[in-house]
Amino acid sequence: MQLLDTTATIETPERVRFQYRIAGPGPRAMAWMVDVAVQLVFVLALVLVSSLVTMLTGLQGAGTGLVLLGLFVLQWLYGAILETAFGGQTPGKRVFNLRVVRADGSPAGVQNFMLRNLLRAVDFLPALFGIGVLTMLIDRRMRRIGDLVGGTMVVLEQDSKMFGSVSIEPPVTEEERQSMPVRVDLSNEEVRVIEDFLRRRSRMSDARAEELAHLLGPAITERSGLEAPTWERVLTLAYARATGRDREPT
Amino acid sequence: MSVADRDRFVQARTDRWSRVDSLLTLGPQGAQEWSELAAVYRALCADLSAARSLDLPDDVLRHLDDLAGRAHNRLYSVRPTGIPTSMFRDATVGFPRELRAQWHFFLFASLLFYLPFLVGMFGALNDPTFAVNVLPPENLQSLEQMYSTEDMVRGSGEDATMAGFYVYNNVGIAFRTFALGALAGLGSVFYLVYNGLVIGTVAGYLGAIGLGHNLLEFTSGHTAWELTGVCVAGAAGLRLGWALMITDGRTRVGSLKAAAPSLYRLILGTTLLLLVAAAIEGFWSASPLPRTVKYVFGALQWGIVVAWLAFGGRR
Repeated sequence: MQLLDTTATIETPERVRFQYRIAGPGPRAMAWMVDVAVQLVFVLALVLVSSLVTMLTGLQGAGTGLVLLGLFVLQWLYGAILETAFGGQTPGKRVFNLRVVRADGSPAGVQNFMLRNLLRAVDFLPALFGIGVLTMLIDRRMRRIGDLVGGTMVVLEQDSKMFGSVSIEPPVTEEERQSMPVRVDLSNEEVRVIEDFLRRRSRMSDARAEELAHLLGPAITERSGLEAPTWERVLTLAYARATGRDREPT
Repeated sequence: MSVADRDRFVQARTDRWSRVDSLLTLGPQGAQEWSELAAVYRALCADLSAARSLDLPDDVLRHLDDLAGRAHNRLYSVRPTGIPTSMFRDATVGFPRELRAQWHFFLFASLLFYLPFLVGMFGALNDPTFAVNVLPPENLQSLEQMYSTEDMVRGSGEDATMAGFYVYNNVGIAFRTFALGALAGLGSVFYLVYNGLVIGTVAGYLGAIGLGHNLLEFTSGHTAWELTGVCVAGAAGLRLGWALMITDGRTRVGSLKAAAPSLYRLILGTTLLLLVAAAIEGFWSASPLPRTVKYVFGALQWGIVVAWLAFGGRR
C-alpha cells in the first residue's frame, strides 16, 4: 500500500532499477537557510579581504570593486559553482543529505547546475520561493521551475535502517501450546501484517502495540477461538502457530 | 516463499549490505576500495531485484533502495574535468553558432529593446516633459551632473569599483531578464522594453540639453557589448518562454529539456558579452583620451561584436 508516492524509480544503464526518495520543500528550505548562513559568512570574509586589499594597495575603491564582484558571484553563482564542485551538493544540501541529480537519476553537470540556479530568480518570486514551492507541489517529482529547466531533481540520500527479524517474545510456553486451537488459518496478507508488526514491536510503547493489535486480534479470536490475555499475544500466538514457529527451539 | 526462507535470504546478505554502508559512510579509500564498492554495488543491485520479486517487507526494500541510490551517486558522480575549458569554448564558439540558430528570438528581443529605445530618445529630444514622465527628476538631475563635465577622470581605484558595480548590476539584470522568461516570456519582454525606454530617454534627455557628446564619448566603447548582451539575455528568456508555452508535440518538461543546451549557450554568451562590457566601461570609458580615439575604438568594438556573432564558430 502506498499512499503518497514520493519516490522516483530510476533505471541505470546497467538495467538496474532502484528508487530515489524525492526531497520535498521542508528539507530543501532548511538546506537553503544553511546556505544563506554560509553566504553571509562569505560576505563577511569578502569585506575583510577587501579592506585588506585597500590597505595594502592604497587604492580607494579597489576593495569595493572586489566586494561587488564577490556579491555578484555569491548571489548568482554560489549554487552552480558548489554543486559542480561537490557532485550536486551545496553545504546546506550536504547537511541535510540532499543531492541534485538529473531527472533520469544520472549525475548532473555544469549545464544543469547553471540553469537551475539562474532560474532561482523566478522561483523566488513573489517572495520566499512562492512560485518554486507552488511548482513543487504540482510536480510529481517536486521540482521547482529551475529544476524543470535544468533537467534536475533533488533527492534525499537517507540510510533507513532495516528492522530486525521476527522474534517471538516471550517464547510460546507449553501451557499456551496446549490451550491453542490445533489450526489457526491466516491469509498470506495477515501473516505479512503480523510479521511487520512484530518486527517493529521493539520500537513501540506497549499501549500503542495493543492499540494496533486490537485492529486484527478480535477477528482472529472470533474465527479460530484463539484467546490470550492481550491482543498482542493473540497475534503473536496466531502467527507462531500458522508458521510453525511455536515449536522452534529458543 | 516461507517466512523462514525470507529471513535466511536477508541474513545471508546482511554482511554484504553493511559493507556497502560502511564503504559509503567512511568514503572509499584507494583503488582497491573503489573497485570493491563497484563490486558490492552490483551485487546489491542483484539482491535488490531478487528481494523485490520475493516480495520482502517494505523496510528491507527501502533500505536496499537507499543503499543502491547512495552507492550509485558515489560511483557515478566522479567530477568531470576540463569544465572551464568547455565553458569557454561554449561561450566563444558555441554561443555565436547558437545565436544564429535562434536568430528569430534575437531579432524579436532586439526589436523589443531598440524600438522603445528610439521612442524614448526621440520623445525626450523633442518634448522636454517626456523625460520627466519616464524618470524621476532626481535621477535626471544626477545624470545631468554626471555628464556635465568634459573629463570624467576617475582614480584607478574608482575604476575597479565601477567595473565591479557593472558586473554586479548589469549581469544581474541580464540574468533576471533571462530567468523571468519562465513567466511565459513576459518577464523578458518587460525588462527589454523597460530598459530600452529608460536608456533611450536618458540619451534623448542629455542630447536635448546639449550633453549628447559627453554621453556618447563615455558610452561609445562598451555599448556594442552591453546592449548586445542585454538583447541576448532577452532572446534567451523568450526562447525559454517559448519552450514552456509551445511544446511542439512534446511534453512540457520534454520541451524544456530540448531547449536547455541552447539556453545554456545563450546565457554563457550573455555573460561573456557583459563581462567584456564591464571591463571596458570600468577601465576605458572614463579615461581622458581624445574623443576621436574613443569613437574609433567604439566603432571597432561594434565591428568585433558583429563579426564574432556572424562568423564565430562557422566551419
